[in-house]
Amino acid sequence: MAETIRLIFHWFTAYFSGGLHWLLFLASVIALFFLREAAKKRHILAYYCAGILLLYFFPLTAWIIMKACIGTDTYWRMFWLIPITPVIAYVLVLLIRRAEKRGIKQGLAALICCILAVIITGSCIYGKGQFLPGNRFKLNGDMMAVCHYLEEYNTDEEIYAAVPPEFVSSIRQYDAKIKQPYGRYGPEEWQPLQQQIQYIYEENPVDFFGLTSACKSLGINYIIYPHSDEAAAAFAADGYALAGNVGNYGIFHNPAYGTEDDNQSQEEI
Amino acid sequence: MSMIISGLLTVIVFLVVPVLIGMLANAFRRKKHFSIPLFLVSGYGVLFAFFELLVLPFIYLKLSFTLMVWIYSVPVALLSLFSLYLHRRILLEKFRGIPKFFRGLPWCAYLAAALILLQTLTAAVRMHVDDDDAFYVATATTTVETDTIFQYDAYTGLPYEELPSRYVLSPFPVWNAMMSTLTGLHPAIIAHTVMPVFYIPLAYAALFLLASWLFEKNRTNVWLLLFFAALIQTFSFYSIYTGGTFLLVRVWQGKSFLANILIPAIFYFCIRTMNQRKTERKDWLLLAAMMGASCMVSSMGIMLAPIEVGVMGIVMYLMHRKLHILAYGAACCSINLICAAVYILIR
Repeated sequence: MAETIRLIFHWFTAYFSGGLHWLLFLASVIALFFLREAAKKRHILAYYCAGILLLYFFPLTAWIIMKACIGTDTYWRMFWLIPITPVIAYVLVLLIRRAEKRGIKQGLAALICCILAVIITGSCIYGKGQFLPGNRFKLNGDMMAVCHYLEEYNTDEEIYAAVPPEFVSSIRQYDAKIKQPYGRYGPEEWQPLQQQIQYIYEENPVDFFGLTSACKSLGINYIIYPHSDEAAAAFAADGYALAGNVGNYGIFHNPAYGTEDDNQSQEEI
Repeated sequence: MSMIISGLLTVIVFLVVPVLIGMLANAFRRKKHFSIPLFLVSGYGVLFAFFELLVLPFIYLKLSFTLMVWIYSVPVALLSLFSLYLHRRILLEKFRGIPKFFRGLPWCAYLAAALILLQTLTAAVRMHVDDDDAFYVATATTTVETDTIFQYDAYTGLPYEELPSRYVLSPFPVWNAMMSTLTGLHPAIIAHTVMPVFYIPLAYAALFLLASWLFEKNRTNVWLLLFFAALIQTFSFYSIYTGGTFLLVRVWQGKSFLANILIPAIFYFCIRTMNQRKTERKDWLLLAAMMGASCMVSSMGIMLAPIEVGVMGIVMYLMHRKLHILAYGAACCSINLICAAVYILIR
């Protein structure tokens, strides 16, 4: 139970600690009990919020929800059930309208104060991790260029490619014809050969032979790798000839692999 | 030319069809009320619930994606046309009244609209890299490419050895794939550009319903609430977990749709259904459709939506002392309970 209580407060802190909107919300819920307007509606809002908060903070219900419903790692999603935004906004509107009854100036002052309260207690979403895209797909442009090259270069083979870590999450968002040995999650969930490929991509100096031998074992017919003469020579010596360069990346092809039969036989192995 | 056609089709499938289906879903209520936000939100609820019921058998029977698109689209298109025919007079009348509607808007409506427009345009024009798309968007491209549903691993393209139990009951990426097929746009464009354009205003449509319930006919207050809601969402980046962050950064993912559109919508439909002297049975059906939609968009919806209905049901029971609120509320959650049982079986 101690662990459940720790998680309750851990997720509360993780969800709210970057700002003070939770204080605005708490004040709004308390205000819901004391304001005069629309008693029934206020009570519905207030009792509902209190009900969800009770479920969230009461250790037994928290434990049941964590274990049987939504999981420990995603317990913070319980906060999505609380109408934080509408409750704060509702109370702010009531306060502004109340001030307005005393005069236009008072109403305007209340409006400005409420806007400032929201801004000061929060954190603006813009300017953090968002940028102008280079294409209308909003995907990595280098990865798309590699896909276009493969589409033109490759005629009848199934494409089974080892790609750099920066392409792993996005390449199949753009072109689902391209198969790859592993996806986003790992490496603990992968087989040893997939792990070997991923480690080699990130190590320095690179074990080119280790990479090609793992790729051959999996039946991979394309290797996409940052281009260098050293890489081109090493891959060519092991059967993966340079098919072309796209931006900073070299595309290396081994026609002995990549047919559907080859892949199936490798999976059986 | 093809871009213009794709644009038109996009407006039809993302906006016109949900409104028409929503009008039909609300057409037979005793209390008639013309509200585009209501029609839009209920339309999406009904469309998603129907999608959930249709796609799950397709997944388990391993039927083709194209067949699913046809079987889904034809009845939806016919129902939309029927709704258009049924409501042609009122639609024409409301269409003629648009200039009057804009003249009658309070000052804060322009503030709210400007902020919502800014959020929508920013989401449409700028980009954010999210690794969760490696599953959500790649599942859509894989579905379109292979003409199968959940047969191939979105991460690798290799056949699934077993169904991904966490996702298979919530085929929201397949919805993206269907939208891609119907509009001719790539799933990445649908997810990263088209969905934010329609789903961010949709989130405010759901809040508009709540605001309309709270303030009834006081339109200034309704719009002022929407303005503050938009402002709060803009300043909700105090953590990466907040609903506002999900809305403005990655609204194309099912969990964001759940947090920002369906959970507020279910809250509203609970109030509309449970908080009345004479219950309208059709309202319970619409609430059940919303619950089905919550299963469709995210596995989290299977669990979170019944908690929401349960708490709201208890609050309403304590206020009205009518047992049928709890009974009907539980019945509305039956699709979630079935999905939860299936999840336990297949995980």
